[in-house]
Amino acid sequence: MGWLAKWNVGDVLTAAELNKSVGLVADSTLGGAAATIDLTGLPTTYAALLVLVEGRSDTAAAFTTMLARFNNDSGANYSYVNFNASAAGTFTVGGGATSIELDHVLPAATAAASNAGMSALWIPAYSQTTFFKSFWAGQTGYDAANFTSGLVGGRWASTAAINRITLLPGAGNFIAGSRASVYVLGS
Amino acid sequence: MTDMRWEISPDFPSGHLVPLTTAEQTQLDTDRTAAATAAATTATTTANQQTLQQAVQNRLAGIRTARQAIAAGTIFAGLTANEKAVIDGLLQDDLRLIRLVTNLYDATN
Repeated sequence: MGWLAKWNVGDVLTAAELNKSVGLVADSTLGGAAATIDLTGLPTTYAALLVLVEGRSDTAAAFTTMLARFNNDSGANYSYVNFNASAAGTFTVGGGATSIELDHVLPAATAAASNAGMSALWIPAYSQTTFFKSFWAGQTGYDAANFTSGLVGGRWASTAAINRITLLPGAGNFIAGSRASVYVLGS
Repeated sequence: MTDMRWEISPDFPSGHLVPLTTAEQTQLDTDRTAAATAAATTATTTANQQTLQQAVQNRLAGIRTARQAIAAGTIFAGLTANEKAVIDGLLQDDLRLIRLVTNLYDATN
């Protein structure tokens, strides 16, 4: 079997071919303020997972961080490095923690109106049970006066397949209109 | 007050609000306290880095201004050329040292 060829008019896709593609598992926009976005019952039969989040917090500040946690594990099993940049400078945050820290992602109550931040969290081989899980996220947000851009990479020290992802603002709630989408890739 | 979570699951793919359990509320309170501490630490570290970087830039500018003033004879006008060269060499060494330390600092922060 060779590399996948381009599609031609009239081709009939097989289930196996469709399973190589990207699928949207969940896509939800918050109808009210919530302290967490809890993605539960995720299928563990795919090759990779992508979680897209766009949101804003209601805490009385210009911005706040966003935290992510797998399988409701609140143990000190997360290690990561953040690198963020804005017009004000750059900074890094790293270390071990009880969740993944995505810095400067969520504009908050005193930020300019209508601004939201986003994060794209990639977890390859999220369903395998041999290795710890590596993850990588790209993110952008808006703090008091500047857009920020950042990268986060790290690992969750567990061999369990990921079937739950919980997202929470460092302070306050996600406001209504915040949105989370989950995509699976491959089979 | 009990916070709410937005649960997205196979049974509720569009999401719905669910009150946190007592255990979840306790965990959320712990997470928020830890996040506040981490945010304060990050803010302090970032502010210190920016203050230090600005101080270094000011120092570099001051040294460059002094070298130009010595070369133009607006300061140390009574010194010999050799004496001026010695002072200029010392200032150049300072510039190199500050750049080296700055590069090392940037690489580790």
